[in-house]
Amino acid sequence: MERAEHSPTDKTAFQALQAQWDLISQFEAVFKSILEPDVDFVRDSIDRCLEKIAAFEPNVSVIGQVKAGKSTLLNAMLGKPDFLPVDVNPWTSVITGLHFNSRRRPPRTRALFRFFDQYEWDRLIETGGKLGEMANRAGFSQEADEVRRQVLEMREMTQARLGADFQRLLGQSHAFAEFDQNLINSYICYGDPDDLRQGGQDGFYADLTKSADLYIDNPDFPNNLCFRDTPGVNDTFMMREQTTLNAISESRACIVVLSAHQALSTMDMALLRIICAIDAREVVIFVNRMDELGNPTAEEAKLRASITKTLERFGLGAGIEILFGSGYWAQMAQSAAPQNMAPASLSALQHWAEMHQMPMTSPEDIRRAATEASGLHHLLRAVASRIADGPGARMVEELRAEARNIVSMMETVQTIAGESPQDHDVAGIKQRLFRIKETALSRHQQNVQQTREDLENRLRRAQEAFVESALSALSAHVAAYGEAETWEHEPMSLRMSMRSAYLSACKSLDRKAQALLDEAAAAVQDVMDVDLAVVGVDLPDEQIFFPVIRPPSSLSATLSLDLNRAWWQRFWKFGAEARLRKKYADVILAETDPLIAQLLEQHFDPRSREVLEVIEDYLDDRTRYVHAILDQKQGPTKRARDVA
Amino acid sequence: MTQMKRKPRLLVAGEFSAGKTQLINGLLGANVLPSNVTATALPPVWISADHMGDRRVGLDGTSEPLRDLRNVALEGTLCCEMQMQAPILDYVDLIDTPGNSDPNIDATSWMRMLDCADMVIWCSNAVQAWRQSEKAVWQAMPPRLRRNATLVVTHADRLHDSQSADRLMRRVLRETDPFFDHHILASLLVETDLDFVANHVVTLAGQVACTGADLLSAAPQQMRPSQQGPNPTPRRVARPIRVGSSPAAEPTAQNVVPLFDGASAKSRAEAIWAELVKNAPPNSPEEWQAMMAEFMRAVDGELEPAAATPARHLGAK
Repeated sequence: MERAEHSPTDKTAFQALQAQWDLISQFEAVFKSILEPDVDFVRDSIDRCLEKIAAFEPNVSVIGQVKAGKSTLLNAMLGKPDFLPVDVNPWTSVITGLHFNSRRRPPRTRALFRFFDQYEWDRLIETGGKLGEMANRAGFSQEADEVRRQVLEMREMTQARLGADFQRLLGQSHAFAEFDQNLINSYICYGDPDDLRQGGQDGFYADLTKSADLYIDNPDFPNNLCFRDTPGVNDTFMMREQTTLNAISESRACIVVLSAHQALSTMDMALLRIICAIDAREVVIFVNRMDELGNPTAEEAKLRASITKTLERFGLGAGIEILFGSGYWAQMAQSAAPQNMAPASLSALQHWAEMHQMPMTSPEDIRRAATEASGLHHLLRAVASRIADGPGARMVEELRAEARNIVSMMETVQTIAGESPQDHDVAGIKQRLFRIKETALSRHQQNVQQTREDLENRLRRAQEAFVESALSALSAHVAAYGEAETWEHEPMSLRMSMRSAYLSACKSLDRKAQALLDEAAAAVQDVMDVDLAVVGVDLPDEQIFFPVIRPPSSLSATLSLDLNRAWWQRFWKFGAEARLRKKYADVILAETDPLIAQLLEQHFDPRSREVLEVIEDYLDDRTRYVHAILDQKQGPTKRARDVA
Repeated sequence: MTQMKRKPRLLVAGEFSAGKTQLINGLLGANVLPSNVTATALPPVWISADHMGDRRVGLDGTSEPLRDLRNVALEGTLCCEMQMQAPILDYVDLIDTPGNSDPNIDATSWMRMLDCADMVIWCSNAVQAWRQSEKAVWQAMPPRLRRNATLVVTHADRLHDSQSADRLMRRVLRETDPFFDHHILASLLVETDLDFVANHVVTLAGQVACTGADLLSAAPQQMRPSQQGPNPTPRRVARPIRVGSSPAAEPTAQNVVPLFDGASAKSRAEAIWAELVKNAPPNSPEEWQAMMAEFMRAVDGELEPAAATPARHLGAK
């Protein structure tokens, strides 16, 4: 149902973001305009900038526990109450990207659903198996069976439902030029097993769907912004969780949705601590379902105090904005008759309106109060400003630096073109430039090797320290309480020390790269000063931007460990201490060895290749620049002779 | 054989804000315990008609008079005992527990109380019912308490329509059937729902009663004080539990905690009960209580009761 006239989206919320986009578009226009044939030496730099702009689509992930109201909130934001499927049971099964005014929309496509391929499907089944293996190793055969059962049941149901199509669909995608609610529902919600058995379509493809992308053109939203709805964590169907956690590391900002009646449980804390590995400034907490509390204004103050206190106690908090509201209120504010909202929600709104001195007499009054109390404007504004200040600002900065470099190089080359030609040892100069690059690359190679070794050592030490502290804490506990009492050891400290080892290795590699580039730049400058004898011409010296260091998402793989506290608790109930020590140490080692391998192979190695790319681009730009100067200084006749 | 004469103890557990305290207040018919939207930092509270006054019991086994429940240090406290009179307390002791999954309260605080309990009600909030964190805790419950357990899905009033309630309870049943014998969807704001839970609790109490005769000496007119009069028809119930019929009428090895020593004694007790129910299924609290009393008398006469589940002594009784 279209109810655009009651859209709760405050256009001003996105103003800052839109202004930034206008600026980026201007850069794009300028870059395109200087793509002329006679400035070949900057073509690669410009192409790189244009690619960067084309790929820029900040992501906001909406995450939280099952039934926190994530989909309802996004629907309210869109002003379409039935857009994303919502149910009284956990429902969202697939990470669903809502791409607003996207320039990367595939042709004639509004909805794109990708299916797992054979390899991914096997791996998904296996991931469930891994969780099962872990449980088995720790001696929790019940949980191991449970995970195996869930995985097999899903596979059997999906294969039975899809029949012969199953094999054919693997690795495929479905694209649609238009979509409606029923179409979406067959891909991105769980579906009710009873309904599905009776031929229901909701959730028909859900288990096989890897991702969903919906493209929406809406003038109320800025260009190239993507919101992602995610399956809730703490679902009894445990495998989906990993998918959601992987999405976090790819996001530029996160809205963590809490449910007002149980704001900030241990589960939410575990989630927040993983997300805050990204950057606390990019996290907004939205306490949803405030309409379910009797006196929302009074409770808000209490909730804020309690959440802040808890966050602080766990060393988070700084920079996390906490907002309050209700997707349901926003949804009712958009409906034809907001006065028809559920009586308890209406009475809560009355309380709220009274405290905020807003009238509640006419339906329009109720609409205004519900819009305001929904907290949606504040949320959108907070998200928009985080993107504008974070990735947006950085993008503008990078483009500005690139533009300055390009313009200054072009100006220099042009100036030199006007001067009288000179003879140079062209081959010798090119050889020198080539050597400078070779030296830089081989030094980077050494740096990578050294840093990688240091990182591995540090990770091993962190692992040893964790085992040590866990075991001594265990001994102390057994001494104090005996073996009957339950006990748990927080895996968070291990995760934090591994994370900081990884991040500091990345930073160290960046620093070393910066140093070798400085040296290379000085060498190139020397070629210009001595061999080319150009006086007063400097290399462009804008800041070098290394790609943002993303936190290692592999570490979140241990969330299942945090969640299954009961596993650990039960662990201590049986057996003698010596046997426990050995068993526990084995479990930790088996659990953390793959983490170390992943950090090195899936995070550090790709990172070192990214840095390598920056180094190569930088030196290639300078080499082309010197070549261009050299060309100009040789003059047209000399150039022709050299070619011959 | 020596026996400890005491009432069965019902532990009310669940995540924080799942409505545990509200349920207990509702069963008592009075706001005895403070409840809050933020986590309630109370130690476990053991409410009984048989306690000798209100006391704080320390982990070291010492106890002292309890002044204000709200100002009890959680550290070093095992639980608080409160003595009071309420119809439901003629049948059971109630143990309120701090919410599980509260990041500021150590889970061991309520888990210690498991040793004292004879049966458990697990509360789960209808708007976020039955999540992995609940399941994980429940799977770690001692098997003794997983038998005869009740899942109460609370805050039914927050569901917007009966269709939602049906869908929700269908899923909850699907997922929790192996874990709970009884499933109840209840609004803690509705008198008849509370009456229903109260009746259910009394039924359970009968099943796990350690010694029966003294429990039923004074049968009150109602399980709990109510403005609406005694009319315990449930408003919404997922698995209908007609008062005094199904749960006790069809005891099986899985869902009944052994009342008596030896298999023959147990099956004899079952036979007595089945006979009673067959003749005249009770359908009001009064009839139900009368029948319980008759059952207990029959059982007392015929069988030697087993020793009670060994429970940790909390100070002098």
